[in-house]
Amino acid sequence: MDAPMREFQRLTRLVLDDLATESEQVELTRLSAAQPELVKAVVEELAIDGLLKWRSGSLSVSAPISEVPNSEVPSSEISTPIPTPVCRERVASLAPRSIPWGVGVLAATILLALGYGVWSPVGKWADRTAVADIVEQDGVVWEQGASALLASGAVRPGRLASTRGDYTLQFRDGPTVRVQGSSSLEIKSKMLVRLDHGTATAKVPENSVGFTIQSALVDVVDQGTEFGISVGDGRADVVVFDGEVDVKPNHGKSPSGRRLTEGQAVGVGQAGDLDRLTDVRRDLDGRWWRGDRPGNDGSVIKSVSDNIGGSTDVYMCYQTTRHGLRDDALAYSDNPHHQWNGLTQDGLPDFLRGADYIRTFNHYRYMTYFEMSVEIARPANVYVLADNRVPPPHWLTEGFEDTGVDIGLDEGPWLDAIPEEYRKLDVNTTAVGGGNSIDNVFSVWRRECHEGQTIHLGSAGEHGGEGGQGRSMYGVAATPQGRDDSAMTQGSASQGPKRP
Amino acid sequence: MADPEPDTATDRAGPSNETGLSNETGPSDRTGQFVQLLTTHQPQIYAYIASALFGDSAASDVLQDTNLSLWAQMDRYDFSRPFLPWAFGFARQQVMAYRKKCSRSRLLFCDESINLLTDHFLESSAHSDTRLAALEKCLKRLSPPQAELIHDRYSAKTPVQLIARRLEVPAHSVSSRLHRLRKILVTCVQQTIASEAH
Repeated sequence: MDAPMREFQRLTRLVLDDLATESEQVELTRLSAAQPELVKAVVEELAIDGLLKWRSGSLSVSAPISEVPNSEVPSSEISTPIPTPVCRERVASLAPRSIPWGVGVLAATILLALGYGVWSPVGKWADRTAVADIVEQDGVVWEQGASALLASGAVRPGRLASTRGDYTLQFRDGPTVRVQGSSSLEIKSKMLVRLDHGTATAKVPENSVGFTIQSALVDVVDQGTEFGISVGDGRADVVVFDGEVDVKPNHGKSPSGRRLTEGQAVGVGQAGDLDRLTDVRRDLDGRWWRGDRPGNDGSVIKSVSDNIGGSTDVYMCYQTTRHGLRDDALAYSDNPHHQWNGLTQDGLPDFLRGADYIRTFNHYRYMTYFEMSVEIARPANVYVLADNRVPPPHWLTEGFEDTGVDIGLDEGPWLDAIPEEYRKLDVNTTAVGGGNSIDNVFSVWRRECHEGQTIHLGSAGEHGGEGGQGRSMYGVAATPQGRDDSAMTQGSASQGPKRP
Repeated sequence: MADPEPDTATDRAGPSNETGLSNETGPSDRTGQFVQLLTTHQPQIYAYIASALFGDSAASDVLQDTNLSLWAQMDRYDFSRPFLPWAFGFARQQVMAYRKKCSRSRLLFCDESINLLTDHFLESSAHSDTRLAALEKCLKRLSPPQAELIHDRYSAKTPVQLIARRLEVPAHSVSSRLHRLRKILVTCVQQTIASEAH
């Protein structure tokens, strides 16, 4: 099997399992366009996946006709064509057709009588007012009065309240909102949600710029981004994971608010003041924001802080993901491209793969006075990934042991901050997997830490270094002690290039 | 590639391959038999649409559109010919119509890949009827941990990340296991169909 086919198969399974990153999806699209015949290598797996979904009822089965409340099917709307060309507006595509209504009902009735619930135009009519669908949920217990929830799993304007569990709302115009834990929110329209309490992460495509999540203390207006908001206990926290948002406190002296960019996070209190939110947790694989406070997410990293402050413009946050270190994991909170990778196609060494990972700020790499503090929840090996272009700083050589293992940083495009028409000139792209597109090499340093210990990490190194090169900020990872001792030995023995 | 367009030719007389129904049969019989064909083949049509819309969650919507389309063309179906290739033609039309409405960023496969995928489904449609039954048999042969993983992912619709958290392994490890299981099932289904054909 050749390399493109292996890669095509790998990317295909990641999409099937909802694990593909945006860059991996782009790569899959590119491969399909370049070699369409690659699809033959995956078609049988796709077909089996489809049959497994079918037999498991993984379809968005509409409610049986008899279960659709009359109130959900306004008679005035049944005969009204709905002119929406939007991709997910499937209901609209049914309305203007010339298929007689009676024929559809007859066929639906026959199919339902035979035990097939998938084809139910009447159920779809009930979703006429829907603006979103619940596409994923885990252990959700809905509170009574969840008026927005339709029987089919579609969501229309109204109240959604849950006492526990997580769910994902896919708005039909594109935005995705993940709601976690006890929550109460009101869907006001396809572009406006009011969060009364709970935690939500929103991913908003470019066509939905302006998507807004309101709360009592602050309104967050998307500017093409991924952001999180957590509301409760007289406080609202806002995190920007990608792009930009406008944060508009509803009280206090700054009604116009301010714009936050990627990697920034603020807490908004009753007085409307913005405080820096330093320590943010992502869920497994870094897809969503975990609303629970640091230390409660099972990570061996209990808390993260630094000595940067004293300015109203400093809102950078550390993002910790349990088991988050893997090939192609993002390295920094403030950069959407830089990714960790193994130096060879074998990928990252075993002892690092699956480690809890703290995304630091690449922006801080030149601060000589920088110091961050990491509190450890239980006995752990803490790893610092330090740029080889500069001599290791004293705090590193004195407090850590050089494992002799190196890994790489794939920096991706260099020209992402220039106008789009010029970006095509950038020959640098982010590759997928280990051993590809490695731009700089980092040493892996290790330190054993005990439960409750707080360690202090300093600057990324002396400015300039040997030959005056630049450098990138270090990364920080941690694993429970015992997990990686044998892997460490194996990794040291077998994982690609090592320094003498 | 094979002709993916729906065959909307007028009725042809003769016995049916699948139903034993003549085109000269009365309207109510035709309707009943057509519904039976339609319902019997829903899993295969869905599997095709889900594969062609790979990465998109709209398969059930497009299946619905395909069903409406097939229903509207019922009078033109030639009961002497296999149903599934005819239905795949309509399904392909609906898939391509859906793709036109989507932004390019949502389309993971190019049109040529879709055509090749359609060819594959058309070529294997003769055995499609037995595929789901074969899959059921193969699922029963899985080991308890394998069956549990398939159950968690498909029946319980558990996200891979949650399964991974429960197993305390990286999500990509779970994905690799699922990939291997799907490949095992592909092989098993092919062998089961082949053995039952003899």
